[in-house]
Amino acid sequence: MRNPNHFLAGLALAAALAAPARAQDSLVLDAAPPPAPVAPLPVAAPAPVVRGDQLHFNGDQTIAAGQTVDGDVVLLNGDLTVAGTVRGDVTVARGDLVLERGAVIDGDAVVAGGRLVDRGARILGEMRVEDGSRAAALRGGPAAHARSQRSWFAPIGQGIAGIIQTLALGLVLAGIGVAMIFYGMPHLTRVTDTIRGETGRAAAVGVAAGVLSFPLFIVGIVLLCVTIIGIPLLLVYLPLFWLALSGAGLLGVVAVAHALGERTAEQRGGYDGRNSYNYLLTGLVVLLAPKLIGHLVGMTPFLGWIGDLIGFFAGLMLLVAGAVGMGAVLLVGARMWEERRYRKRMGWSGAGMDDLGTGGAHAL
Amino acid sequence: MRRRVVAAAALLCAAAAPAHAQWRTVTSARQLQGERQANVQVDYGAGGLTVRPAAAGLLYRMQLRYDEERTRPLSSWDARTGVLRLGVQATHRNQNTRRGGNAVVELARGVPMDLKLAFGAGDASLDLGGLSLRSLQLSTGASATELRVSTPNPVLAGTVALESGAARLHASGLGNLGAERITLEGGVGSSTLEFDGAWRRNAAVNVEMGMGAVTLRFPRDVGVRVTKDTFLTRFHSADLVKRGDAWYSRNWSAARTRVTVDVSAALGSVSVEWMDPRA
Repeated sequence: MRNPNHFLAGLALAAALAAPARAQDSLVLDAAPPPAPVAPLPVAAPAPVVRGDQLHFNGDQTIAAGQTVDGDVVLLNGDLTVAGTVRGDVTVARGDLVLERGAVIDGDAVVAGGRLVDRGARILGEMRVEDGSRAAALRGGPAAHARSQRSWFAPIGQGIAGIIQTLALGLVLAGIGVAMIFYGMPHLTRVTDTIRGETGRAAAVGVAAGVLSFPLFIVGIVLLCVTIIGIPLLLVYLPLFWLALSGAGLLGVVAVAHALGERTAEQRGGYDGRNSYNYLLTGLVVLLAPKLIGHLVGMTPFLGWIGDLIGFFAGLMLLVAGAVGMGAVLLVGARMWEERRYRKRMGWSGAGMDDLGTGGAHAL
Repeated sequence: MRRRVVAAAALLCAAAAPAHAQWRTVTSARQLQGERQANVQVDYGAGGLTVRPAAAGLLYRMQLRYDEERTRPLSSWDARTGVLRLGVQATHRNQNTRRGGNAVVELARGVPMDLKLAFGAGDASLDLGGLSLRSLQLSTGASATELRVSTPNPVLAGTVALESGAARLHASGLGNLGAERITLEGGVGSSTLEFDGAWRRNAAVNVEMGMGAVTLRFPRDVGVRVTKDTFLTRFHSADLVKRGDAWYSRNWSAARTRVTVDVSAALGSVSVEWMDPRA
């Protein structure tokens, strides 16, 4: 039993055969009841010193007064009473460990799923009581645990949940996109054009915005605090900052989807510059399809890792889309601001002109 | 070999634990083996924390309910260096610790110790009366912390350092510590320090506050001298008389025990109040 691998195997075997867990979890020190009479040792050798580790399961055990175990003692599924000496650790899984007055444990006394009752023993190491659920997990042994961790149904459930989440995300993005097309088509067109024409620049701006967002957030807080009168504005600033950033990211993803849809239509030769809803839908499918495929593949029993891999790259793609889109939104926003300033400086009223100078006529 | 046995059992237990959020309970204790000193560090993220003296014969006892998915219990004792670490440790970085856990930590009464308590969010109730504290360092985040030193410290404490983030800190019985220096670093929040107890020597108190309110309460028999360096901070000094750059209590010259307070504050309020002896 000196080989730890043999010990682990024995422990797993014993755990597999073990009975249901107990509910009591406590460390009782100097318990009131008088020491129970020590029963004769049922399995240990009658010699006063037992050399080597002791492994027992399914049954109560006792190390009598005067007896010494020169090694570790492990009992699975039963109560262990120690009145003698153990020159090692004592571990009891799903059972009580009772340490009588005069007992000596040179190492740790560990109980999983039971009670540790110390009636005046000397324990040189740690006394530790784990709750029963850990021991209950031992009931079926490692094999059962592996089954519970990766059962046939677990990946299916996870996959369905992932698909629902992805579809929900798609619906939210579609809703935002439809609203954008309906109410802010000129802006969406500008962002889409920026994404298609200045992809690298938009990505760089998006990444920079992502990296600098937190420092900017802190700087904003400090500035508001320094001005003192700005302190009440913190209540608005704190949520609004992140809301604006998230909004820019979501609008950016929608714009990326729109741009992808346009690009796909051009490649198919079906681009007519009018059906933005179609482009949006196509783009969202292109963006979210890998995520859905990843979840679907992950539901199969042996291809879970491929699904995880696809899911990872799909997530990465969404992240890049978010960065590019947010960058484009920020670029367009900055340019619109500049344009307004320019018009104001030049004294243009801009009546009848929208930001694109097209007079508000946009093709859907 | 015994380490291997425990490691094997622990490995099996750990492997058997489900991956979902799981609340676990564990109780850990260790008997006294003639320890002469201890360097105790308690780290606890979020939840309820109680610290109090342990029963006779124990170095420590810790009862813990923790989220196994995100944290793991911490109980290590190095007999050679006398370092005792208790609490929980995050298993993943960048994960918020869920509330719902709690820890009751009991520490040996008769072992002189340097105690370091780091507490994140939640409620903490710390009764350090009866512990032999050579030094105390308390660091709280966004929490409500109640610190009591209900009985005199058997040994004299050197430095007592209290750090309070966005928290509410109420400390009482600080006179029982016998501390030479008490410091409070307050971030955003309110702190109340009550200096009642059995004073055995003069002490210096340093208060550094960012944005918040600090209330200092002294027994009437203690002489108090306050100097301050504040900006946009209201200073309430009941019954203190200003002489030069400092405020003095009326009994300053005659007091057996004197406490000098140095306050640095940016924004908020600092109050000095008097408390009658407890019945």
